[in-house]
Amino acid sequence: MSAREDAVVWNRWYPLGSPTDIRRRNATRTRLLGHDIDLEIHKTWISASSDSRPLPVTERLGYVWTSLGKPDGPPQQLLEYYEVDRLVMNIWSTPIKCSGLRIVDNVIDNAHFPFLHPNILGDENHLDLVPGEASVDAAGALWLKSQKAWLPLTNSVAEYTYRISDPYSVVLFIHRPTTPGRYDYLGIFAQPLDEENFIAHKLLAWIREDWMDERQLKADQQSISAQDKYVLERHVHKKLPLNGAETSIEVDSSSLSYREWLRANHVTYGAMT
Amino acid sequence: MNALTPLTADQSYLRHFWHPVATVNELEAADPAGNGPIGRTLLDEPLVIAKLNGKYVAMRDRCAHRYAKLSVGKVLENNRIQCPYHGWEYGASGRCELMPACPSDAIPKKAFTPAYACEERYGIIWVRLDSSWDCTNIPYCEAWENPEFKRQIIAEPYNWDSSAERRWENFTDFSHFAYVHPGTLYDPAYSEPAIVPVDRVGGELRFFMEPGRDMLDTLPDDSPLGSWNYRNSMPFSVNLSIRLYKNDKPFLLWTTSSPTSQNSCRNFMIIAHTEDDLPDSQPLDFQKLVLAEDQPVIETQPGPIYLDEVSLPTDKISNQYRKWLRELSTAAAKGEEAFKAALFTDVTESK
Repeated sequence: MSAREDAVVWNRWYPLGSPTDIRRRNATRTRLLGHDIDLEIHKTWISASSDSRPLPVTERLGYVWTSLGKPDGPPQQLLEYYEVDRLVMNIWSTPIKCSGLRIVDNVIDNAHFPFLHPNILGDENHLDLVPGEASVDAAGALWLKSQKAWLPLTNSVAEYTYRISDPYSVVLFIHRPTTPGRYDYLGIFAQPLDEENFIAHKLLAWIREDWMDERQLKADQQSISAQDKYVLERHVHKKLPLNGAETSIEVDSSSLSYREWLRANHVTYGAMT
Repeated sequence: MNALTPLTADQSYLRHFWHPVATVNELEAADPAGNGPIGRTLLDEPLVIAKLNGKYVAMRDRCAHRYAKLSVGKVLENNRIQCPYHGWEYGASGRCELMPACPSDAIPKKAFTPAYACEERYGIIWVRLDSSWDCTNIPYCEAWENPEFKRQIIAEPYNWDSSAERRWENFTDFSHFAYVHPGTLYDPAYSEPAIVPVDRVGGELRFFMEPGRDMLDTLPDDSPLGSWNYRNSMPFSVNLSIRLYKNDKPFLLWTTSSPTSQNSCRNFMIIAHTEDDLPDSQPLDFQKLVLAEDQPVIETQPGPIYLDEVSLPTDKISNQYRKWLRELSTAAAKGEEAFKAALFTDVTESK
């Protein structure tokens, strides 16, 4: 299908990458929703166009964002990203061969942690997940609050909250027991190249601790994402089934909530309907 | 209300940097021979500045005897600073060389005042309070480097009841122009600034801005509208190299803020331009106008910067600056190698 037929997807902002990466690679072209995007690197900004049509661009959360349609407002906000005591970085921008909706579905699914990321994000001795609550806020964003999971790294139960304000992206709030009310953030922002290919832009914005080594953090996060990428590219269906092609036993309650939210928002691009 | 969290818990890292304390002009105006002494304060430390044997010196402004200020004394023909109270004489090393009341007694070991590294550059006297790591340089200034400049103006320093950090941020803040300087430096229509690449190179925070050319139509002729290229030596220096839109010539605004205390600063400015017959008063007066717009606002801010302040995407310059200050402060507490790494590890976004 043409993305233009899916107004919800069409009229959104999408990241095209970190401006630093774009400059370093001297990137002049990328793709979005089946369309070629031309990039022009200026000294103080990066512009984008599609078939010579200038597109709106803005820089937020360490990425250049654009839209092929008419978004009503700025890209999603995470003002905490700009707090001065945070370490922020783009973990990577990597192409993955499936629908970008699949990665959101993957990230929010804590049930896969013990199996895909054993001894890092979970282990098989702790499968007793406490399901969190799903809710939709006034702005229409889906929240999956207080999902609990065993975290072998810290030998304790970790608490996660997910915010999905766009079909193709999710922000993970990692609760911090030492500073209640403040979170460490991971953002997964998909740039859908077409219905079955996307670039995963992964953001990290953690409160800086003395032990943190920037390179090590990046490497650790990349290896977790590489495990996800491996599985994502091996699904039978490249698009995300919203039609019952995967039985509900195979997916956890968070995924069900997300898929339900996509259906309610009439998202079809990148989905099996 | 919860207590605020300061950006940097420990300010002592600032002692490892060179800071300006006075212009040569000021010292020369202080006494007929041009040797001083004059009193200045740096990071809460009172200093006496003088020229002894043709070399500038900076020492703690306190006679070891009864703690009178040496800066109120005088520089003798024998190139010593004489205390105004009992006439103790100090040499360039800070050691007392004569106690007139007991001229033949042995001079006690404790009869000295600490002397600090002191250099003259750009017509300005610079002091570094802690030279134990000896790894910092006097901030970069382009004024005498670029042969296109025909005139370098060393402005009279001015004091603000604001911290050096706030002064630096004010000078480099893109989103205040439209509010504090409408019609002077900026057109209010351009209130949304670009989010530009910011580099760390050799201890300098570097970035580039291109304000809208359309503003040429509305701004006064003295307004230095052009492409703005910043090379800012940490922690408090700004070298704003401008290529003027109106005639494509370079114009330099250089400023360095000196932290007298956490809540006050003394500011040095150099203007360089390419004009043959431009009276100094003209660019100076324009800058005074700009400063008069800034000062009453900036002085309402608390001196220290707090983590509790809300930052926006468009505050990128100040956010990057704050992060670097924080890293430098933390690193200095760990030691020399960590401090050098924090200051001299380059990070490039622009290419």
